[in-house]
Amino acid sequence: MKSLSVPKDNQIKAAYLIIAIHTVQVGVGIAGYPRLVFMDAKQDSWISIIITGLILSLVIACMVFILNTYKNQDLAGILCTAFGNIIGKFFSMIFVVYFLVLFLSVIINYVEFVQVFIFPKMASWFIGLLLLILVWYAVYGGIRVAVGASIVFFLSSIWMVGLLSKPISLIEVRNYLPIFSTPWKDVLKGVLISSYTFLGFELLWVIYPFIYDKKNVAKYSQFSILITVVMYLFITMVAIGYFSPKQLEQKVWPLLTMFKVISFPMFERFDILAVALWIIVILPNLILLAWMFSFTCKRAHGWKQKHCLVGLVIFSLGFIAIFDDRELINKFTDYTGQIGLVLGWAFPFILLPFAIKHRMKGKKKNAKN
Amino acid sequence: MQKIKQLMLVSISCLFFLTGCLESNILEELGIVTIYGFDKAEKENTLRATTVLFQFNPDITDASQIITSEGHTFRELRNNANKKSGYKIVSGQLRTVLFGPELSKEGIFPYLDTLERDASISDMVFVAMSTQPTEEVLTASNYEQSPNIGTYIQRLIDTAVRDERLISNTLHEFTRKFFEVGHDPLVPIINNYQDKAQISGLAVFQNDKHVGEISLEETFYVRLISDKFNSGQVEMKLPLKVLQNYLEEYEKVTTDVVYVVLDQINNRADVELSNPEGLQFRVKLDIEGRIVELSERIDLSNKKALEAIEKEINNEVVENLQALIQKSKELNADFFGFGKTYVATKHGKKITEEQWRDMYKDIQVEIDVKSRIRSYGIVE
Amino acid sequence: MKRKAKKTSKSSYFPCTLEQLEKDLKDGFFNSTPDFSKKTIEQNGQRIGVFFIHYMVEKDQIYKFVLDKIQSENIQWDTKLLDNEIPINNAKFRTECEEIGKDILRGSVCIYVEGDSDCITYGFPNILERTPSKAETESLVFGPKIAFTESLRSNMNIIHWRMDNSSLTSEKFIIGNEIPTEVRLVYLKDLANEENVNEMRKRLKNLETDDVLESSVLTQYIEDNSYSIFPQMYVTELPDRLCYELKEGKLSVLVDKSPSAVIAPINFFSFFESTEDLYTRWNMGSFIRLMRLVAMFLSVTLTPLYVAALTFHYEIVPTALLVSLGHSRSRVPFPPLLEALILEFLIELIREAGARLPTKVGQTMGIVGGIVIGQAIVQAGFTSNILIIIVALSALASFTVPSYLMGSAIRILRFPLIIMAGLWGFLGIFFSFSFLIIHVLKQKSLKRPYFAPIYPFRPKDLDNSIVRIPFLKSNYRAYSNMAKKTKRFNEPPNTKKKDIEE
Repeated sequence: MKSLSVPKDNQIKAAYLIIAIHTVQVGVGIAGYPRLVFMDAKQDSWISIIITGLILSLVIACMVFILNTYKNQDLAGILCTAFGNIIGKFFSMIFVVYFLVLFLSVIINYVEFVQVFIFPKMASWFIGLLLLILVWYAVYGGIRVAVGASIVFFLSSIWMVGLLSKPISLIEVRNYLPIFSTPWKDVLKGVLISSYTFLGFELLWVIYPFIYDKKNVAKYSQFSILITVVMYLFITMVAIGYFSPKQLEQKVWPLLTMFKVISFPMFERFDILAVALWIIVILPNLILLAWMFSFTCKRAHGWKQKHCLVGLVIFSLGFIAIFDDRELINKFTDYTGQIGLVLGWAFPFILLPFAIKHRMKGKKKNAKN
Repeated sequence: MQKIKQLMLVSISCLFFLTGCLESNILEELGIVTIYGFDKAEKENTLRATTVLFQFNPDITDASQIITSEGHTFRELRNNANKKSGYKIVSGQLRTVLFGPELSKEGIFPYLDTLERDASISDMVFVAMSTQPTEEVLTASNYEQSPNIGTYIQRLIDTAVRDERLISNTLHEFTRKFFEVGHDPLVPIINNYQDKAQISGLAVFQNDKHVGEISLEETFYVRLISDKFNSGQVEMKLPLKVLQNYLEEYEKVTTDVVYVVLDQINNRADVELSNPEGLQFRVKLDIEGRIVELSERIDLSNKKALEAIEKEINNEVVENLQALIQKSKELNADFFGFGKTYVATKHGKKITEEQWRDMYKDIQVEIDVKSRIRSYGIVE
Repeated sequence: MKRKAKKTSKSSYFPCTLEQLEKDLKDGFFNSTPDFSKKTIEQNGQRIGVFFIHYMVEKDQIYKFVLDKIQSENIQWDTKLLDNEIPINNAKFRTECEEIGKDILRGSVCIYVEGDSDCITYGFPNILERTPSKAETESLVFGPKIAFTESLRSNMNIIHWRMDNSSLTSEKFIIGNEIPTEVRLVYLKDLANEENVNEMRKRLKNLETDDVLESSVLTQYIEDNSYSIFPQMYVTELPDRLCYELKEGKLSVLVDKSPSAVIAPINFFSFFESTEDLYTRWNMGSFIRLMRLVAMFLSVTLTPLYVAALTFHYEIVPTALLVSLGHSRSRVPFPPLLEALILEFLIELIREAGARLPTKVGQTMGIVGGIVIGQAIVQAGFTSNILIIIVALSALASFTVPSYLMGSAIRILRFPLIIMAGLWGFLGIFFSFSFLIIHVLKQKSLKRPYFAPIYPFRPKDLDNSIVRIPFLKSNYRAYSNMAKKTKRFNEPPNTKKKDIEE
């Protein structure tokens, strides 16, 4: 497969990766994450999160190494170079499906939020349609708009973290104690459960050829991971302090529940607003995933990106209409996490030997010349 | 092609607007509940709810309405209440829930749980109880300038909490303490005195069951350990004997006690488990305050006088605290949260609620108070 | 000599008789208009004809310099001699009837010595123009008040006076098939980005239209996205604004017969800047700029929030407001959506009526509309009084935007937002907001990003768009302008004291 040459107008600065990767990772998962990790790792959840962060940092380093080896290639290109055209295309197809699954899991989870918190009677497919229209409109503008949307939406939603100051004032410090009392096995289970929430960093695979200053990719992507880890750590810690252990285990979305105590003089209940506002948090998520999906689809098959996008929108709409049972959603999310464990976390390491081989070959060639 | 696109656009937008018909909650068509009072009804397993709500009517300036209804579940209560009202009863503006005496004795958590599950209900709802039937409290006709009794009671509790006279007990805090091992909630008691609702004390709960009461004065001491003061106020009774020497000369002594009012109180409490096996706790308490009132003239510019007062305050605090701890042990309700410290300190297997209840009777608390009087007003 | 060579190459229209020329001109160009004047001088057996349209020329000057001259000197005239004797420059020798006609249409006078092989035209245009007056749509409290007029000549004059810089370049385009209009592309050669200039030049050159009415119409011909509600080029009537932007490395387009100039490329936040922010001190300027942005935000959100809260989310209304809101709402027979739409519509009506009426009546209209109708409408129970406050506030807020086009855009945007809020509550509001953000992100102005200092994110440009910092500190031009020289001036020497007392 040909390597990509991206026109300069379409290139983006590596610094945007800080926010782009972060926004793909943070989405619906964060609302329920503190509970999930707490169920396993208890008050030592912070260890789990930090371990996850360290592993993730390693994964990212590995990805950047591979990407640097195959210059100007995206995931589909690398797969084809490493495994040959047919197997490569097959693998990229798997990734396309994987992106689709991630996309769907975000969308159905958000639909559930809205139905539980504000509009119990709103049809699922309708909420989905609202989201998909926006996704379609944004992805149609190409990667620049997709990244731009992620940055502007990030800037317009990050202030919500500051609102946690009210729950922070209600924290019970003794909830964090005693530290180091959870068995290692449980802490590691916490790491495993975190894997779903941290997914999304696969963006790097696809976006890499579009980056203008490639030498900074490693730095900025690591930085982005750091932000994500700090954010998760912060929210989890606040949730653990704010809820008592058993209470936290009962709350499906601790973050949104924490918003329930926030009120302003002109605005009695923030949680209602927060759920609607959450659309801004998940949109970058959806937009970038849809872009990843359509672009990889195009690269693997040579189909038009437009058509892939329209296909995605129509398929998702149908999917949302069928999937509106909480049990099913939970199962679906679990499966997504498991797929992600392989395709997101383990895959870079599988690809690593091929990259090393490729690099050696390149060196030999250079030596010969 | 263009035509097909246009057609699609039109049909999609039509669909858009047609499906947009949501169930709306238009403000003036709602009966907006501000307080619920729950009681046991005469019939077995039924509840009686007193619902205070706003119903807006252009011709009547008083928007307050009170409806009583009976039923087995919260939903049923609401539906039955709705039978008596032309407005759709909603509880998104609920500010307080009040429980009657019998229900409080039996346990109130099941009812709170249903409230918690309802996403439209805030977590900042105050949980309170009454030793009278709630209907009696909620039908009190004197609620100052508040629009209705619900907002009045909310304001009553809110002001007290902000003045640090009460321990805040919102829905969230109650459930938190309910689920916590080794921490029991204190619930404000609202009673009707002479046709006006008033805070008459705090109810001690064992988990979600009412077991005893403490007075508002005693709340100060609970707060000293379990909460923080930023600008609290307290009145203490100190024996005059020790302070005899520092009295101004012109003063004629008629009593043997002196009342001291401290305000701007800051506190710092360190609770630690000094001996896990012996269940011994040590509480280190630093209190800082300012004297604003003295019932007798004492020469405060004298350092020794101040020291003597500080010492007396220490004694008084320790005495009161020990008495309260004794009381809480008798009630077997750990409203200080010693169990929380025990759980937080002890590694290894988590103890259960029952285990802690058994252990709680045997705990010993050593209290170490250091008080400091900062300044004493503008006149020396 | 050249002229002669040319003449011989073509089959010339001349020589002809004066009557013939007059007839041809009248038939060909003026449709026998009564305003076409002809003066024939017979002298020394020669017949000399002078043609012009009497209101298009400076008649006094023609009498003084042309007729007087010819009549006073008793010599044998020919075209060449005329050129030499008449003390006016820019004489044009014409051999075609068509050219003569066009010249006369532009305010020239044509002199023909019968029997000669060509004729001569002089431009004596009499252009009626307004003297530059105070700005009306973008009025300032502080700073220069002069505004552009409808004449390109005086506009260029003003610009040149303000910017005596040798690199000020202006390129001329004639646009319009039916009514050709002169359009000028003005920029500073040393500063303006080459790509921008080329792009603008290309767009102007390729533009084919019958008529360019006005500069704001021209922007609609050459802007990037015609379907967006947001203006993508800034139309201003203030020379100081124009010169400031030129100095920042932007381009401007002036259109003859239009009292406003176009500035491009521009970003979204420029529409909230006013030159007044520069004239006031930096802290005031920053405050006012931020206030305008907040005002815009409020203007777009307040009414939709009201509608959403009252239709779906009664939970968020604070208790203190709940009772008064409920009371005033209980009189209103419509759902909040309709109520808000009616009131917004009313406010728009008052505004439009005030704008269309003469100033004095317009003011009365505002008072009548605002106070009398407002009072009556609440008492009649048509709307709640809180909505009146909200709608008035958001209308006021939308007028703080210095750009009239942007202000209108914001006012119109409210309507779809209110409808969305009435249909789907907060979800509708945030859906619309997300849509708007994506939409703005997709826009470009002259192929430059429209949402500039935010995305692409350029923290250093924030001081030139969203806030202001002291001039001595901001010695760099906004990077997103892509000016050739980004440095405005050298950094001032550091005058910071090392210690308190030195």
